[in-house]
Amino acid sequence: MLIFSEYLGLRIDGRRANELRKITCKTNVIDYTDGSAYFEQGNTKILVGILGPREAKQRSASQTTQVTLNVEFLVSPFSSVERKKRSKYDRRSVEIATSIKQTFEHVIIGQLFPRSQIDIFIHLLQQDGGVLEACINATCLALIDAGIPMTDYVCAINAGYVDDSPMLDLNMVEEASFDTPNITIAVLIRSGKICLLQLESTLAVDLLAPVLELAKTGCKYIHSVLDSTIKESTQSMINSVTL
Amino acid sequence: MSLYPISISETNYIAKGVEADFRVDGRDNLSFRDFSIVTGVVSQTYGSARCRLGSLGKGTDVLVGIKAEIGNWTPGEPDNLFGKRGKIVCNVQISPISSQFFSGRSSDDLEIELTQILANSISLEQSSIDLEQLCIIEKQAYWILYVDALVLGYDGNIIDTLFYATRAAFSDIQLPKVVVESVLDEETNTEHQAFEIIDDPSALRPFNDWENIPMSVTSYIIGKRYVVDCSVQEETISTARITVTINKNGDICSIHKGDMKTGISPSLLQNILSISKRIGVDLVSAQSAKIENAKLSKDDSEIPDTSLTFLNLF
Amino acid sequence: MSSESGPISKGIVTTGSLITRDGVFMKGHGTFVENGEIYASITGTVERINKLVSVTSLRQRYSGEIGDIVVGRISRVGLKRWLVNVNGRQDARRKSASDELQMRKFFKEGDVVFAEVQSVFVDGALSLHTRSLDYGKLRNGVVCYVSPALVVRSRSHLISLHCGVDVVLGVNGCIHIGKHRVFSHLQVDSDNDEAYLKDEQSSLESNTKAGNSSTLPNNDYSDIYSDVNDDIDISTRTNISRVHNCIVILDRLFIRLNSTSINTAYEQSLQYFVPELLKQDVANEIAESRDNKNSAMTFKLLVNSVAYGILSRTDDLSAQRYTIE
Repeated sequence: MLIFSEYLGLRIDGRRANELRKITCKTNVIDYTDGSAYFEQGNTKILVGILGPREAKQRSASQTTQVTLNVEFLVSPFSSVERKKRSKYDRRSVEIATSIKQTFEHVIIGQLFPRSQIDIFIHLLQQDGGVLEACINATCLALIDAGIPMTDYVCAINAGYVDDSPMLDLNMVEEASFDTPNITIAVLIRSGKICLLQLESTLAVDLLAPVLELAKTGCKYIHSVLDSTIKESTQSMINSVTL
Repeated sequence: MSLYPISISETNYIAKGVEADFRVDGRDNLSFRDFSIVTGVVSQTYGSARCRLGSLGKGTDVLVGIKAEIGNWTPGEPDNLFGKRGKIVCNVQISPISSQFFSGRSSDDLEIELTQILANSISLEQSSIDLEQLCIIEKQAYWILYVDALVLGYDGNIIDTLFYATRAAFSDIQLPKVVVESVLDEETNTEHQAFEIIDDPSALRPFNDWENIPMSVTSYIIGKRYVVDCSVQEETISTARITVTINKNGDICSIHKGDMKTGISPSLLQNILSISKRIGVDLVSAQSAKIENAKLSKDDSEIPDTSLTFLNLF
Repeated sequence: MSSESGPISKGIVTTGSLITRDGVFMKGHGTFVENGEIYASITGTVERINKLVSVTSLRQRYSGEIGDIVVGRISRVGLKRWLVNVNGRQDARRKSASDELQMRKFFKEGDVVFAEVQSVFVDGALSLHTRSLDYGKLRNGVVCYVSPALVVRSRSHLISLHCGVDVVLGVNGCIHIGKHRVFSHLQVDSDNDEAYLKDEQSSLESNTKAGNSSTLPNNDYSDIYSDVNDDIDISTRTNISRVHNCIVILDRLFIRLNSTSINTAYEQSLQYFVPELLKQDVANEIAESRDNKNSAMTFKLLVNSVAYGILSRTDDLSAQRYTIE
């Protein structure tokens, strides 16, 4: 399948190579949580709820110097094109949950909550590529909404390399196309450091740098979207409280 | 559900309120909180709805998505002996974010129970729903509808919210059109039927007769009286639960009793049945009106951004 | 994000943004230091007290401070202490040296307690005391939970409404609404209680008659631990429900709870029946007509946004995609 038309410079969904899909997000969407976020990137839709920091349910799981992070990735059966029921103990789900846990473990200032636990529940409502990146962005929003101290924003994006040009924010069709190397990276915005990098196919070494560079710019853009969402919701809360 | 701790004095306060027909939020024993519904929430499904039971945007919250797949008939299928029907498969998941009290596997039993109640009322042969419209070719192919519910908020009366959301999702169903034609097999020189799904967004058909899907009314026994549409606290102190499902004509479709701490007398049951019937019919007609209204306003506006429904706090 | 305009950022700061480069400031809550610069670790508003810089958030779990008045629920009864769920990051502890076998005689699982934070442990766990006749078990009413940011620490957390209803505002966002009772003013003589509620630490602080510590509660005190409700007539019950619904409305609109806001909401609600209050349109009207000089308009907007979610409906929806230059 032709996924990039060189003549027009357009991708299958009409985007340019460096163009992101439309992002829509909102915090504080679920009632009984401490923080929550809804995040939509193109047709990929994620709902995240945070519970905690609270007393660890299992004594054995609590750590005396650190907060314990518990991440669960829950796939709704109707999220994929073909209906499929997936357990949260499914290998792919556990893998995503672990990636997210490792990404946020050193960003959250965990020493402040020893013996407590933070539960992060991620619902995948609809998938159209870039699931991990959307999960990380949504989780970042929800954690900030829950008022959990962190040292930085974490923003993620995926990128690939098609027909000699690096491409940003691949959708499902582009991801599935077999000759596209697909990288997901997460960046700490302030320091510019990369805190997650997943590449699941081969890519020539000298091509990595331009892709990373583009992806970092993409993350900065996502940060600006998340940041303005957070600022807006905080401002509206402040307005109502002080009325 | 005993996960929610409650003190003796609160139990007493709530029970006395039920006795006086004046509950904590001011309702009488037989009135419901407000339902709100949005349909078409998840665009990749064939039909979806999000429904919330509660006031001022807090309450029990259920998201239902329906997916359709083609099933191939095999001889001897117990619930589809003559190959004339389609199938409906239900599944209920309770999200751990729906309450501060669910964690790990503590909601598993409830999930199974809810799935069972829903499945019994809408997917069995005895249900009043026309499953024959899901048949594509007799004794060959049929539609399977997967009804997947996700509970996002838990503040009591989950069963009724589930039915309400399921009905709304069914009203939103748009199945692709299927064309059946005879094909001549040249080798054996016999004719057989084949079908083709038409990939055309304008050629869609709704699920006929969705209004026949029953609505449930769940009563909880507190003290000597019974209460509909309980909050979590009221559920905690109740001694028995009875779910009656009713279709739009007021026929009783099924009765389930759960959360047993005591039995109930037949006369009380009789009483509950007649009240549930009255409430159920009211709920059904109110919901139909709501769905009609929503459809009208949808037609007025330009194509609504489905994502917005999730961003709303409604 | 930068602090070029002044030595310290003002207004809203978001996670990870620089607050000040100036080394004279000290870091407080919601901040962290990196290379001598102070950054925000949470999103909120910057507050400065002398040299101490902190960020306060409106969306955080309750974290205790000494002297806080909290309402919580007993989650576990141990041998020597009760664990109280105060919706904080750790369950709080209420220690006791009284008869171990009789622990449940005082507080059982699920009981609602009204207490004061006595000390905060390093890990954030709280120790509570009920060393006043006003504290102890709450009954004759209901509990509702609001956002903890809506309850501000103040002198009075007890609001006696003239309709015969008492509201106990726990700083942790747990609120008890019940029938009016007589509170002896809160800073009561602590040694009344000491006789049978001897906290190991508290008994050291206030050197009271330790000899009495072995005696069991006598009849005068058994009232505090009673589980039996008083008779509540229907008008009181109606008023409790009315106040309850008003608090639900205020919480949903994210308006701070204090005697003024609760009283005004209550007054405005009087023109409606209690069950009507939680219906969307009525709640709108109550909020609109609140006696708040110029803010009626803003209120209306606010309520509508709660009702229809227009908060999210900004122009960016029309922008189809974002392009990176």
